[in-house]
This record gives sequence, structure tokens and C-alpha cells, in this order.
Amino acid sequence: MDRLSKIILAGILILAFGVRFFGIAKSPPSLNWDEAALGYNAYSILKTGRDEFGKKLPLSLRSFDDYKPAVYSYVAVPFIKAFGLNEISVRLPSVIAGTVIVLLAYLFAKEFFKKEQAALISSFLVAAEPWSVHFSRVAFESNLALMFFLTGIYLFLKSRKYILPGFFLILSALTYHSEKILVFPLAVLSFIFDPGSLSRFASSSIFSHYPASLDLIKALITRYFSYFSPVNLFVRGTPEPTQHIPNFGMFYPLEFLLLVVGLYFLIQNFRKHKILFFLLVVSPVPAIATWNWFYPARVLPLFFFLSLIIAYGLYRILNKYTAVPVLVILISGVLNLLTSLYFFLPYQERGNWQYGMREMAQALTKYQDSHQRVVIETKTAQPYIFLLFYTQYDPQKYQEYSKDILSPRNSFNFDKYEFRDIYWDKDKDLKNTLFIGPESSLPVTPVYEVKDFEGNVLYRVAETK
Amino acid sequence: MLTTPPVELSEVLLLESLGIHVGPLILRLSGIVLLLLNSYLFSRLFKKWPLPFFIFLINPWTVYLHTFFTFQCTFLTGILILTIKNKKLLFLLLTLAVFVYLQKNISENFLFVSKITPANLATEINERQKIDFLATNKTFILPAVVRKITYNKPVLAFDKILKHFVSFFDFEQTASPSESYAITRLSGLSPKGNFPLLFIWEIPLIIFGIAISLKMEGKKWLVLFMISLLPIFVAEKKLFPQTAFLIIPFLLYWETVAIEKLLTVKKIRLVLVVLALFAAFEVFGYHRDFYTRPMKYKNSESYFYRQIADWVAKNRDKNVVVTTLFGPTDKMIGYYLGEIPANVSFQNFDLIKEATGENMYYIGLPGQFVKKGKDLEKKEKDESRTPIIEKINGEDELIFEYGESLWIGYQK
Repeated sequence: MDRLSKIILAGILILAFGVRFFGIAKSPPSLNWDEAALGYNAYSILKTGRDEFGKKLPLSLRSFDDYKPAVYSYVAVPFIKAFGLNEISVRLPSVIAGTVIVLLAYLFAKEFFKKEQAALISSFLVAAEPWSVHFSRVAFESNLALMFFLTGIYLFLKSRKYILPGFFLILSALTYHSEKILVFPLAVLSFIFDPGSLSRFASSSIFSHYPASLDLIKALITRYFSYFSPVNLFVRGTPEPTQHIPNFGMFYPLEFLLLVVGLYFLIQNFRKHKILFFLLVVSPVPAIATWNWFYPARVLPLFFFLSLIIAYGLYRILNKYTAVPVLVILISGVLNLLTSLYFFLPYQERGNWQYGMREMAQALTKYQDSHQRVVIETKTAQPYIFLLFYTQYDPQKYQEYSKDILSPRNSFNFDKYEFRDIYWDKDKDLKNTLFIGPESSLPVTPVYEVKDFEGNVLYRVAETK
Repeated sequence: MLTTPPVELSEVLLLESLGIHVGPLILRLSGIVLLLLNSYLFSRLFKKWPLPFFIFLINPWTVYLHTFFTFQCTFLTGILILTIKNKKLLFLLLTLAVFVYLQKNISENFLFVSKITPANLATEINERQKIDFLATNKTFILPAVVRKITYNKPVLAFDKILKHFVSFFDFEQTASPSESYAITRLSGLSPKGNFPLLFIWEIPLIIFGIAISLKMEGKKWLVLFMISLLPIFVAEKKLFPQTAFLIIPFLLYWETVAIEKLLTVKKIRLVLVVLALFAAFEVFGYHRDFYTRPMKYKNSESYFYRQIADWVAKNRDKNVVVTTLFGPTDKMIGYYLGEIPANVSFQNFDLIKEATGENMYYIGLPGQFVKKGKDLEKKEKDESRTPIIEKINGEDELIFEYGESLWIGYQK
């Protein structure tokens, strides 16, 4: 690696970190409930060594009875210690993982293609591609798991040893469910150590939806191909509202042509690149075992390996004639992505992110002290976690309430907080109560109105004496 | 059974514009003859004919096209002949002719490339910049230079065309449109009227076939394939089955190449037998549904045209008023019956507001008999002033809040 390459790579890494970190508290416009849960559990572990339900140093978090892998929360602990419990601390592990993945793209491409230029192109593309940018700006366990998984695979390819690569692969399997299936024997191990960790699979598995074997085979095949469907990858993206940047697929449309070129040249030398093809083909396997159709979070390794092939395609066609048009289209695409990311997403898509919960919690903090009871009506699922997160509720105190919560839980109430619909005709007779809910549920002069940045009323705060 | 799938409205309009009358049965038989001819021509691309012949014959896309777009399939015949004879220039000219044909015959609402005009692009760009501005609560706007690079007409036009091209490679629309729609609304298509164009197992075979063909025969087929894709730019993505049909021979060519290659590997013959059985189930299931359950894949309107025509044919002594609310019923009934009977008139009636004639039969949507809304089927007895004597069940609400079925009412 010469000096120029080092400078270029450093520049790409700085760019990657910058794009991932800039405005991270504002876009996406709010934490979603999974991020809030990971953050609050990290806070709880930091303060008490236990998760929100009082389980000591857990491998998986019960959370919303979905038993999230706990590694992300552990990784977030030092950031929360350093910067406090906020959006930046929760998302920072993902930002850093995303930046490391850019470096890994360079290393993998160097390993597979043995060309410095192709390796640099790979790292640049991964730094700027929609899938990588988006998953690195949100606290997705899958992004952290991808970093561990790729590190493990890379170390194995380089050293052909098992201990250190094995450590990273185990870590990846403990970080996200998909990697458990990719590193299959580890799924068995994790089940032995922590049976709850696989309960999520039982609920989302495709096998319970297709009792007939022929239908099941067809369902598996169709799902498998959906992950290679160019329209999903390059144009349409996913219907999952929090897993894409609006107006973009997982890649730029132009990259489809580069993928075809890359595949064309790599197939000519199939034997030489069989490891890359193997990794590509097995990557969607964890995702097809679940009910969802095109679910990007479960196939990040696939996107990574596709990026390498795309980069190889670009490397093969890049010459003095193609460089300018390709660069113009790519730069225009990247700028478009950034405007989508920083303007369009927080504005147009705020409904898909639990926008308003932070603002509501702030209002609550201001008015709650003088009331014995607080009734909250919100259409957001799992509302309690936002309250815990944004009010930085003492974890030790919450564990006193949570230890008795049955599974599945039928109520989110704790302390003086009640989460339910407000019936004002009846509820107005309650004494010394603070109400927070939509305008339609509180037809009364409010003490405060929670508004969004355009001045639209999100919640009303009303009280009874 | 052959005439169970309803005739496509566009086919009837085309016949009318040509001044030809071909009845539904003759039209279907012509389609089948053409399908057999094209299957034969396709098999000529190979040394041994049976395998390619059957692959072409049973393919969902070819069956669909030859059933609903019979005339268009003559272009496919031309393309096959020119491919066999290796006439590349004529091939290109015929593709362009198809482009022009489709441009003229597809409804303006669904056209694609002709809508990419500077004015439309400018509107879109302005709209997008407006959103960016509103997103900052009108406090910040990107510098003009950045906006010029980010949002400009040539790049937007290129982006649209490229996206349209990539959208064609859609495995959901190709192999499992209904299922993917049911689960995720992913396909972005309406739930009805979407045909699988290929069986799911054909996709890996085609990809494998492309790889073999590239290695053994070079880029010859790929070039022809790319040329034959030109007509997809005529119309929106949802009309791909109609606009991209010239590529069928190439896709099936690669599939056949792949199967022939696999058949030479003795070690996997048992696997192939199992897969062939799986495939046979798929093929049988598809053709059974296609010829016996048209409501599964067609919108109710084409089914209703046929049902109204049958009812009118059986009741030639009655005065009938047929709705025109959901489509050109006059044209379709005229087509099915050869002419419009004298006892039938067509109008967009509203029996809640209008006075009914005496001794008249009315055929229309429930919302034309009772006040429109939800669950109209239950309101028949209480609200309809005109007694309902018969109902034809449908599966889609063709007009919002007008109900799913077709009612026949009689006013004494």
C-alpha cells in the first residue's frame, strides 16, 4: 500500500465517519422503540449491572418479549457513560461499526481482487451506498454484527486459524439473530447458554406459516430470490419503513450495471473467486427462514459482498472515457442521497419514526411533579420505553416494578404512569392527575401543547386538581 | 374452458379499430394456433425440438400473451423467424416497429418515456426543492451551485430511465406477484391482474443459462436481448408483460440451455427428477387456475362484461339498461354478442335520484341502486327502491364504495 493509497483511504474513512455522524440526533428524527430499548438497557446495565427486568449481565434482553441480543447494549455502555443517555450515545456504536465496515471493504477487496484501485473503490462505494449509510446511522444490532462477522471471516481468510476469527464470529452471533444462522453451530451453543435468545425466531419463523411442504419450499425459494431481485436492491428498496432512506433502494440504480459488469468478469474466473460467490449465495439464508419478504437488516452481509462485486465492475470499466460520466452520475446520486437523508427523511418520514415521544417526555418532566397520577395516551407501541429513556428513569427503581411483569405483558403501567386511552367524560373526575394525549382525546383548555417544528400539535397536556 | 378467461378490452378496441370481427372462440383458437407455431419456431433454435417446444408452450408469459394479446404475438413470430435466420438489422427494425405500435396503442395514462419532458422534470425538481426548504422550517436553502448539481433535468431524466430499466428485473413481478403483494405490498402493483410471467424455478435456470451461454457462445444472445428490451420504455412498469414480450425467446433460450446442460450431468439425475415433479405441480396448478378461475387473476370488470353479455343473450325479450359506470360495457357486449341488441340501452344511471322506467331491468353496481358506502350487499332489502332479482358476485370494488358485485334489478 503506497502513500497515496493511504491518504485516499484515510480520506474515505473520514468521509464515511462524517456522513454517518453528521446530524445523527436529527435524522432519523427520533429513536425508534428498539433503539430506545437498547439504549435504556445499556443505561440500566451501566447503573445496576442488570437489564430493565433485573436480569444480571444478560446475554439477551427480554425487552418487548422479543429477546434482543444484548451485545449492542454492552457496546453502548461506555458511550452512555461518556456522553449521557441520548440519541448520539445510542447510535454512536453503529456509526463506528459502519466506518470500520468501510475499512473492511478495502481489506476484503484487496484479499479477493489483489488490486489496490479496486480495494479503494470498494471502500468508497461502501462509504457512500444507501444501505451502509442508513444502517450506520441507526442503532441496528445487525450493523454491529456485520462488523464482527466480517472481521471474523477476514481474519480467517488471512490466517486460516480458528481462535481469533472464532471469537469474532461468536460475537457476531451473539449480536444479531441472522448471524446465528450464518454461523449455524453457534445457534446451538447460544441456545444452550441462553434458551430465550431463540424465542424471537419461533415467532418470526416462516415454518409456522406454511404447514404444507410444497408451499413452504416455494415460499423459501421466492423469498430467497427477492434478496437478489434487482428492483428491490437498486430501485424499490424495502417496505419496512425504518430500513431505508426515502427514494432510494439499497444501492444506486447505476450500480446495477456495474454489478452486471462485475459478475461478468468474476464468472470468467469463477474458481478463483469461489469464496466470494459462496459468501454471496449463503448470505440471504437467515432471512428466508423468516416470514418477512425483503428485510434488509437480516441480509447486510449480502449487501456487503454485492458492493465488492459492484466495485470490481467499476474498476474494470473505469478508464479515461468512462470516468467522467460515471463520476458525475455517482456524485449526483450521493448528493441526492444526502439531501434525502438530512432533509427529506426527518420531514416526510417522521411519522414512521416515533417522532414526538422525546418532546412529550420533556413536557412530562416539566409538569408531572405536582401530580399523583399521569395518564398517557399515544398510538406508539411500547410507549413506556420512551418515557424511561427520555426521563432517564432510575433503572433500580424501574426494576422494582418490572420484576413482576408477566410475559407476554398486558400492561405498560409503572410507578404513577398509566398508558391507556383517555375518556375525558369519565377521566375528568380523577383527582390530581396529569393527562397527555392527542387533541381529540382532551377537549379541554390544555396547560401545554407539544408541537412539532411546523407548529402542528402532537400532544396536549391537561390536568385535574 | 378455452373461453373462460375473459377477453381483454384492449384486444376488442384493436379489433374495432381494424374493422374486423372475430368472435371470442375464434380469437382463442387463433391464439392457440399461434402459440403452437411460436413454440415450434422457438424449438428450431435447438438441435432437439421436444424440450424447447414444451418449455415455450407451458410458460405462463407465453400462455398469457397468446390468450389476451393475440395480435401482438404475431410480432413474436416475426422476432423468432428473424432470430433463426440471424437477420440482425431486420430484428432491430421490427423491435422499433413494436415500439411504435405500443406507443400508439397503449393508453396515454400509462405511457412512460413520452412523459419525460423538460416541463415535467422541472415540476418534479421544484417539488423536491420545496420539500427540502420546508424541512428546515423555511430557514435554510442549499446554495444554488449545489442545487444545480443535485437536482438537474438531464440527471433526473437519466435516473428515471435507468430506474425504469432496472425495475424490469423484478423477480416478484416475474414469479410471485400475488404472494409478495399479499405479504408486503412490495410489488407496488394492484393486487389483481398480475400474472406470474415465469415459474419460480425458471429464474435460477435462466441465470445459469446466461452464464453458460456467455462462456460458450459469447455475447450474441445478450446483444439481441438488450435490443428486444427497447419497447419497455414505452409504458409504465405495470405493463411490462405487454411491453417486454420480445425478450421471451431469449429468456427461454437460456433456460433451455441450462436444462440441457444439467441433463448431461449424470450424478444429479435423481435431483432433477424430484425437481421435475415439483415443476409439474407448479405447471398444473397454474394452468388449472388460468383456464378455470379467471377471477383469481383478472379484475372483476372483464368478468362482468362477459356475465352481462350472457344475461342479455338469455333475455332478449326484456328491456334492459346496462351501466357504463365501470367501463365501456356497450363495446364489450357488442363484441360478445356480435351486435348490440335493440332491447338494451347503456347509461350511467343512479336509481336513488332518478325515476325508473316501467317494466325495465337495470344492471349495475350496488352503489347505483342504494346509497354508496360500505357493506352495500346488506342494504339491498332495506334501501333499494328497485327490487333486486339477481346478483353476480365479484371480488373487487371497481368504483370506490359502489360495492363488489353486480346487481340486476327489475322495476315493474
